[in-house]
Amino acid sequence: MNTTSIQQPNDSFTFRRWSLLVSLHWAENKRRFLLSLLAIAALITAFFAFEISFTPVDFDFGSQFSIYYIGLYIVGCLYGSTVFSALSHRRKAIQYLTFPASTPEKLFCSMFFGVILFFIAYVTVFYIVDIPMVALNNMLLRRHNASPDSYTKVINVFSNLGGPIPNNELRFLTVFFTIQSAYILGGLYFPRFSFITTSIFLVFFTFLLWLFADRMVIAFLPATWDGNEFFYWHSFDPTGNYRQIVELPSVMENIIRFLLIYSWPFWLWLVIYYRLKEKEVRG
Amino acid sequence: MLTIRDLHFSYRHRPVLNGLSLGLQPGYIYGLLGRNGAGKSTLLKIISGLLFPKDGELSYGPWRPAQRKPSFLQQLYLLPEEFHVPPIRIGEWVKLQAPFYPRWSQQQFISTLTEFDIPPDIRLTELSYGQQKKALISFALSTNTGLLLMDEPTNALDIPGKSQFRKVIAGALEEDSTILISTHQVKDLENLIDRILVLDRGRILFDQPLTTVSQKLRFHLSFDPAELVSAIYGEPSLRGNSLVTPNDTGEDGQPDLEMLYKAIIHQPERLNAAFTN
Repeated sequence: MNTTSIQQPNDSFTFRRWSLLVSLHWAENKRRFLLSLLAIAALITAFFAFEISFTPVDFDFGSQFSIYYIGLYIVGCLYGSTVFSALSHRRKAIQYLTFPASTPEKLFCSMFFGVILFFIAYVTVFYIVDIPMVALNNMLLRRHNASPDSYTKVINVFSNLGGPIPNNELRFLTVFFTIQSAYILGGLYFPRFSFITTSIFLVFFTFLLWLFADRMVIAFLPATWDGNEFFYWHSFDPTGNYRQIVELPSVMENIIRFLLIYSWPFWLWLVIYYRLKEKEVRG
Repeated sequence: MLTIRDLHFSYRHRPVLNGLSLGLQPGYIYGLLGRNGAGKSTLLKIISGLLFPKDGELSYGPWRPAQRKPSFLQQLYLLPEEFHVPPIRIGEWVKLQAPFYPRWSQQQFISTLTEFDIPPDIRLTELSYGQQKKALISFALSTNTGLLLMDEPTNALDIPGKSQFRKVIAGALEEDSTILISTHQVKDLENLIDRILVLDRGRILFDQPLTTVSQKLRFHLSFDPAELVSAIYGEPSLRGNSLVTPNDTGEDGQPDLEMLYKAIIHQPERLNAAFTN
């Protein structure tokens, strides 16, 4: 057998080392991945079948949207909490941490499987189940002589069609990546029962955040501050016209808005990186 | 060369290593002995970068293990006492892992596997625990890393496996590599190690080449009660008293590692005096 060894002096990141690490990770875990995908497909099928068998007329974009996102959140977070499960087991952790790859390579390998590949696989599995289920639903409607107007179409999961909040700019998706990253980080911090512990921690953290934003910060803001408006403050005279308006520049508003919506996963991954660097195998 | 100076390490408030200093030279096989809980495995983990010392210096060539740089990890292989094997075939496993080790030798791997009588194309998880360990030992030796650390490598090996282990280790040492074997199975290291290190209460209690031990100490049996009194260490056995005495004969003897270890643990001052004289 010929094996070409890696002799690059680069200690930060090499694509070749990373791709070999990905191949190794795939070979060691492919069975688990494929079984998980089958389990996801079975769960989505069961949900769809339940929905269609009771109310085929109501099976619409909303139903598909709900099943897609409920599944994505539950399965994605469950899977996220296991991305670094090797580090919870001493035997695997020793092998993982002494393996000759850099921390960024190990991190990007885990992110590749846990975030990118998981998402692609989940969307693919969803459509593999969704397309025939929509066809089945429409066939049932035809049999019951329902109006063609009630026939449904396959949802585009990258649009907000069927979502409960109009014009929310795929907020459910961006929030998912943030929450999933929190579960990945939780898997590093809480070696045992990481999903449950992270869930409790997130609920507690959200409560504290709400307490801070809604009770503490508001006390320091001007009396007429509209809590729903984040980027400007105004007050009205008795006739209803603007009396005062303080507004952030639109560039700054756009930057803050962008960071608030999209940057959370990256900050969490940065914490994951440092946590991984400082990880020890005790006991 | 691995250099350790004044190393301190604690698990929470329980000190394990307390000002440990040590130098490991290439071209030698070191045997690391110590009681349970003496810190042998902890020391191996610190050398591998799996634990970070509280204080002190630790370097292997230009590297500091705690940084876990790939160029360092390519030079190190740790065979832990307890290990994990993935559910894949040996051939595939090697094909995927070997490229990470620049001095990997496929020929050496096959010959070591053959020596251990392990079939080369079987799933690792289908092997018994002892066979898995033999496969891992074969892999570890074939990486030809500069620093090979083995934690209780002979645990779970059968009797033929232990002698096979001694044979493959003895044949694997290169002049630019260091092998450190941590064990409490003292007998398994006989005729194998070049230097003995004994760890006790967080420090190196004894560090001598076995050639010096042979020159300075004599291990023998005696029925003479006076010899028992004057010995560095002695204990009764069915064949008479087993004794460790200063070697006044001028002839090199064969060290009995078990007796040497007991003498180090029970009579460290008297033993070290024999080496300073």
